[in-house]
Amino acid sequence: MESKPKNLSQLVGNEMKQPDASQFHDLTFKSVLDALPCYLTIQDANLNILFVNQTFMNDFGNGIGKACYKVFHGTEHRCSECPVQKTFADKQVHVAEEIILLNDDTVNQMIVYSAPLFDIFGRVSAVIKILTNVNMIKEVQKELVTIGQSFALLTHDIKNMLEGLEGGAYVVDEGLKDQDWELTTKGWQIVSKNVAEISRVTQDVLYSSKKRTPNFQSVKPSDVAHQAVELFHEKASTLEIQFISQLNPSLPHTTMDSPSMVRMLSNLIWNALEACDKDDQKPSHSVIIRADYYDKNHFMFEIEDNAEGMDETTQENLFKEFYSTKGDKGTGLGLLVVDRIVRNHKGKIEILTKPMTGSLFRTIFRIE
Amino acid sequence: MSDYKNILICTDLSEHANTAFIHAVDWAKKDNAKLHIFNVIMPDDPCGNSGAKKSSDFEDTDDAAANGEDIIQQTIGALKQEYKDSLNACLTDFEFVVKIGTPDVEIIKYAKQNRVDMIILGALGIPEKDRATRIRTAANVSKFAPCQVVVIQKNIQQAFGI
Repeated sequence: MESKPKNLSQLVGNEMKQPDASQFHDLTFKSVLDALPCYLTIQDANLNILFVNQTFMNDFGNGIGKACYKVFHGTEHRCSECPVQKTFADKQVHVAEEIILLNDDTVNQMIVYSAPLFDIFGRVSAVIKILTNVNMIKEVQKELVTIGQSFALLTHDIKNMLEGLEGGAYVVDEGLKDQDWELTTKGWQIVSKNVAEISRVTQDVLYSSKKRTPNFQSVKPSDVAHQAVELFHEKASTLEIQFISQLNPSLPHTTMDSPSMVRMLSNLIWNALEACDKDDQKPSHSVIIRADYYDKNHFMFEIEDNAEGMDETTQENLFKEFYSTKGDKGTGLGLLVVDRIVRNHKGKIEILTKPMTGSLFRTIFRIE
Repeated sequence: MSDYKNILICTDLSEHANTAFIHAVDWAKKDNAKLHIFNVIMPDDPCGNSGAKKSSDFEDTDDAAANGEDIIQQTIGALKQEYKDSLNACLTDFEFVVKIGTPDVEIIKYAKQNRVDMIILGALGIPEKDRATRIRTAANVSKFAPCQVVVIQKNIQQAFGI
């Protein structure tokens, strides 16, 4: 009876020449490798792929004979931090995280293990590379971090707002005691402002820390924008900011999660109003909200202000968790929520900004 | 008066853009500047859900040919056909550049990356009845560009039949 190879090291080690693809055909344990829920390749010293399992073939096609950097990263150049090359150099197992492009153009985070396969002289004749998709784990990790940090921030923010509420309530009390309606009204405005802030922050924290299933319905983008605009007339008026809406009523009905879209627009409008309020370099400010065609198949929302704009660093950090330019006044969650809503709707965000001039946030969506 | 070294003329081959082009050539000649003749093609899928590449990806991927390099080359060909004679007659330093994306975003990005010190563009681009987009390119470039911006209308005398 013909003896069967017990492992790949033996198979490679029995031969004193460089391995080639034919060696790895018809292995009895290939079906086991094919069933592994991870991508498995064996590569030579030139990083060419000699063997792949079925999971690999399902998502990358037949990569045998191709360079791994071409298959995994779509580039002609070797990666600067390549675990396979490290294993060839030091005969050790290496672990790395890589961003891998699948055949369907999705970008995935993967944990990569590289382990040596030795010949009978103890030389590394090939390296086995195993890639495990950790996208879901990364998402969960991100969610957990967000939840943890949300609690800390929420406590801090609500403490500030409660102090504001107490201050407002005190002013209302004093006004009522003295029957001074002007003072009472002033106190009530402070109370209202802080209630609105608590509501906004709580909703952002909830949105960013909880997975929601979007409820897609057919609505007119201009109606959605109008709902968001209505929420901010009073705030804009109080801050003496010109608040202009240019909503194209001829935009057709399209499918979207309307409450999410209102939240997205609210966060962008809020940011624009806050930026204008913070800017003391100009005598007057304006915030413009537009809903219009991007092209014949897409529509866009634009929120434009003439506040102080953003520098390069701020732009780069905009969609990172808890990045805020507003100090104690901001949680940094607002744009994170915007980003999530846009991604849920398969849309795109574009930003135009210039320091001392202002910013324009444009979100683009398909008309469906 | 400033000496401009890199002048960006944005054109969609419209009447406004062609008038702007004449001014851009004059300006580049006067200042001995490099003229960047720039066109932006709006993508079929601006949200990138079909896997089509963004313009910024084209430099680094082999998929460029399949995804957009052909149309970029065709557009460069059209720009050359339209403008090369008048350019060869008076300028030596010029370059044709075509990007895929949203016009205002791509114009400003290119201007930042290439140290452009003046952008010249037509006031309106192609006639409103022929275009679906409501992007306010001239207004947005004027507001957010990192350099001087000159917006030029099509030949006014022709427009008023003078």
